[in-house]
Amino acid sequence: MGNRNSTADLADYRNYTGRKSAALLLMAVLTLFLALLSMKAGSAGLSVGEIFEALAGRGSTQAVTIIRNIRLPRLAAAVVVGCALSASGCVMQNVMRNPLASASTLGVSQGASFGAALSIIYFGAGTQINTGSGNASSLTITHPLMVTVFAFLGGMATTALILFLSSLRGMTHSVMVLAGVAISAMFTGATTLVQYFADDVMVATVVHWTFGNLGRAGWGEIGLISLAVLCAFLFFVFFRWDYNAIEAGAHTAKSLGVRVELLVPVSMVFCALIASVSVAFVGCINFIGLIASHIMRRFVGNDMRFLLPGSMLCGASLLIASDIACRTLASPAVLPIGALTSFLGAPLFLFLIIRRGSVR
Amino acid sequence: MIEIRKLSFSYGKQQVLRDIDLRAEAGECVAVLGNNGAGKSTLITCINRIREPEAGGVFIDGVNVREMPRRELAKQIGYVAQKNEMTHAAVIDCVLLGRRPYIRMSMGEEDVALCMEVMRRVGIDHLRLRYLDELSGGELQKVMLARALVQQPKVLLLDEPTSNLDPVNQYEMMHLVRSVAKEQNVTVLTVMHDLNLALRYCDRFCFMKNGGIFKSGGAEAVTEETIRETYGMPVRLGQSGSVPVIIPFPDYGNHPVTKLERTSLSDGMYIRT
Repeated sequence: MGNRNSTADLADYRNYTGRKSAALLLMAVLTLFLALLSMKAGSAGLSVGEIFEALAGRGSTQAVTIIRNIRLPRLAAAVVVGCALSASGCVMQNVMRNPLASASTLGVSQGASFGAALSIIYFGAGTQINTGSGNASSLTITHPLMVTVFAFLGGMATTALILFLSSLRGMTHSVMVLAGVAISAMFTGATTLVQYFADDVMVATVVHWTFGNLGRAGWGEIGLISLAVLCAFLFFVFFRWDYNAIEAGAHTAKSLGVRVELLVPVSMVFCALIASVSVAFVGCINFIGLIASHIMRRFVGNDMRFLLPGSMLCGASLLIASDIACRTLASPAVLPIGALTSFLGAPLFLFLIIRRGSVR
Repeated sequence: MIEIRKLSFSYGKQQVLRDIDLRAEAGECVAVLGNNGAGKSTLITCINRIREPEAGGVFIDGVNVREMPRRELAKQIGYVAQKNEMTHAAVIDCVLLGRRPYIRMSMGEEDVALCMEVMRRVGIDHLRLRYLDELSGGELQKVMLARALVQQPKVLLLDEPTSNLDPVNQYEMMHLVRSVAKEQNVTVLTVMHDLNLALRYCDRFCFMKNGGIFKSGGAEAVTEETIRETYGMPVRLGQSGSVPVIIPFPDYGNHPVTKLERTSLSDGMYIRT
């Protein structure tokens, strides 16, 4: 009887985890579908067959150039940045015990943005390149590592401030988000001051840079973001049960042997790292980190074994979809992706605040 | 067996626990009683090092818990907090958390099997796939108890396990705690406010006042005088079958309430005058 019970129990549990794995699989299929759509979207009118041929290095030179040099890096940037921002938001919400936490709502992105702007304008990490059409110029980052370091320092300064504030008594979830608004305003002000003393063309390019642009990141930058995301992901996955324990409350987590006092700040450093590196190379892209995990919670619950990879896939999908929208809505103009994610994300953010009962 | 020797703890300059000595044998149920702010919850959290005591020690079967790695300590002591988070996590996942001290990378089949067995014992196996935020208070408390039992602890610390429960669930919960303690030889230390519930289900009683243990012992330690001294509340001690019962004076509570200014460290302590 005991054995039969035990076998039935295990089958029951496998079914339960199987359903969550199926949700992840569906999300992965959706991501792949959107990736294909992203490669197809555009004025070149490439067919699916031509896309695969171009990926393999065959087909017309024009198709190979468009796919390999323009659309593939853009897609790769959307995937890694989407993963970075959503993983960062997912873990921040867990360790801060705050459903409204994310790199953009707590001001980490703005801090990183300030650091990156500082390095580009005053430390020569970026160069203006004349595009040849009139006075237009674009910004190319010549020292990606320097931008990363400055953005990381900006993001970390914010993170340290947030950790300090959250350790104070009486800091509720809502107050922390308000503190995030204040921190964001402070860094936005600081960025404006930095720009104030720069020359006009540099200001214009940096302002354009802060809109967010997935097309800006080259393979070197994408590699750097991927490396940071991979390190953070491995760390998060290793401690997934500890995050689940924190979900049950700090005291309960401690009673289960979790070193909460160590895990929380180290996790926040990893969150700040991946969010900052993303901001450094593609600019501020708001709300993806906040929304992705909330969408996935509805399908897989708060279990970090499934929520983390699910959120990352969801974040990647959202960013790919946003990018497709940016490229096609006002074609041939390409809308700034940061503006679009904010435009669509802000109503959802308000919805979460108004229906706090749905925020878990 | 758990032994607490000369344990002291302060929040900043305010001393909350002073020279606590307590010993409980395996399979024994000990009720920790006292007014709000007497230091009961702080004592519980100092035992499993959620808070680090400033002096004294806690020994389980003679081994100082300070010398145990966190993971090992979590195998020895299970804990159910006073307030539990109602998150959007499934009951089975919450109970599985109790195996966290035993695993390195992932849960094995034997961990899942143990969780199912404990959930059946606690009577919540039918809830296994429900989310915590869909449960009633009584169901949630049972889930938390199951999670602590899955740790296979020698000592179980419960911080007001029956608060926010209706009378039926209070009795069910305490009956379960006592049964498990006796069956599995687990020492239970439970913070309680309901004296009658404590008298019915606990073996020993530890009255705390002003951060110290005012009196402790078996049922004989529970006297009208002890309760009056501990809570500042006059009561009568009666009998219901073989179980002693506490009966507050009928007109008690009809008088104005003033803040107790003497002796207590507690901000929330009141006495009727």
